[in-house]
Amino acid sequence: MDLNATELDVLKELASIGANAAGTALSNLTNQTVSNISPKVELCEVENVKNEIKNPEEKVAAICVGVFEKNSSVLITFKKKYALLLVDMLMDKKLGTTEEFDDMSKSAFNEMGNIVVCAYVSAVANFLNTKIGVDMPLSTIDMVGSVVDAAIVQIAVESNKVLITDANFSINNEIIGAKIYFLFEPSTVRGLLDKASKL
Amino acid sequence: MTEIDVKMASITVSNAPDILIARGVGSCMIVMAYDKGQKIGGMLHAMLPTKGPTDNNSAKYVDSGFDLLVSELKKKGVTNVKKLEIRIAGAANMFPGVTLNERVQIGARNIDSIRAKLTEVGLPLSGEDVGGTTGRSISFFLNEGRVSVTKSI
Repeated sequence: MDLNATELDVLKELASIGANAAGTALSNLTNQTVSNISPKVELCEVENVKNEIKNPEEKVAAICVGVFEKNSSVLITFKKKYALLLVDMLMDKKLGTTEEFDDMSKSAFNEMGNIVVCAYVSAVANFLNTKIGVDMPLSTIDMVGSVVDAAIVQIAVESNKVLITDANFSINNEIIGAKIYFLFEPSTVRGLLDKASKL
Repeated sequence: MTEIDVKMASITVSNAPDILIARGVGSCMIVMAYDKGQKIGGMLHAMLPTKGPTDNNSAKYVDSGFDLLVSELKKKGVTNVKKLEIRIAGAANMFPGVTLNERVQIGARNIDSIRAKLTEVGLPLSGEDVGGTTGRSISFFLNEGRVSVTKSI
């Protein structure tokens, strides 16, 4: 699908609103002040998303959730070291305590990811004064290339674009980097833009 | 010897002693074809099972990508297609748990697609490491036709 400059700006704004809400959710969860350092949003061709990842073998912890009757999805990836820091913050442990994921920390990460993704989606829905259905979240810890390719093939049948937000959350003197991929179908994004144009 | 990264939705054909590599593969299907006599090999990094009528990039799809891989190998000098050794890897289900939606089972559909294609063209599989729930990095050594798969877990 082709988007004009205004439509692209609207989408970028929606992604920023979502990313800021995700930061607020992290703040509530960790009981820390969280600032989102100027999130960078870009629209990327489906085929290039994975090719632009510098080290596809780097380990990440990821949460993927289907939205809009499963037509689209939101994927958030944290580098593994950041995900472990978040788990420590969430479980009120000294930073650096959790060195590897076990059942408990995986579950904590899954829960946190779920809340953060839902905060992203509901902020977009609230802004547009609409409702967006969210599916059960799925998490995994694996190579970033594999995680991203599995998420993008879900929409690659019908869509050719992915909206990527590069977010850096500053929490307790740590900068936690996250990438938020909004993977949408053309009809979904058209619906969002229609709603935005009526605001 | 050169290590060549084979990007998503693309095909690379080369000869010994090069190494063709697909890093961080999830539900994508990696198809490797090797001419042992001439030490020529090619790797397809396909995303989806079948090409639709309006799609243009053949390397994005398993079925059309395989045909393109074979024709690229012929251009490189492979004469007897029937002697090609075919190996496949990848096609994992990275987010297990949801089985209702066929879209998230692209990995399984990619496996079905390559098997159907190989039956159609009458080529046997020489080796495979497909499915499961973990990502893979796949290296294809063109000096001997060997394939090495590493997983993160």
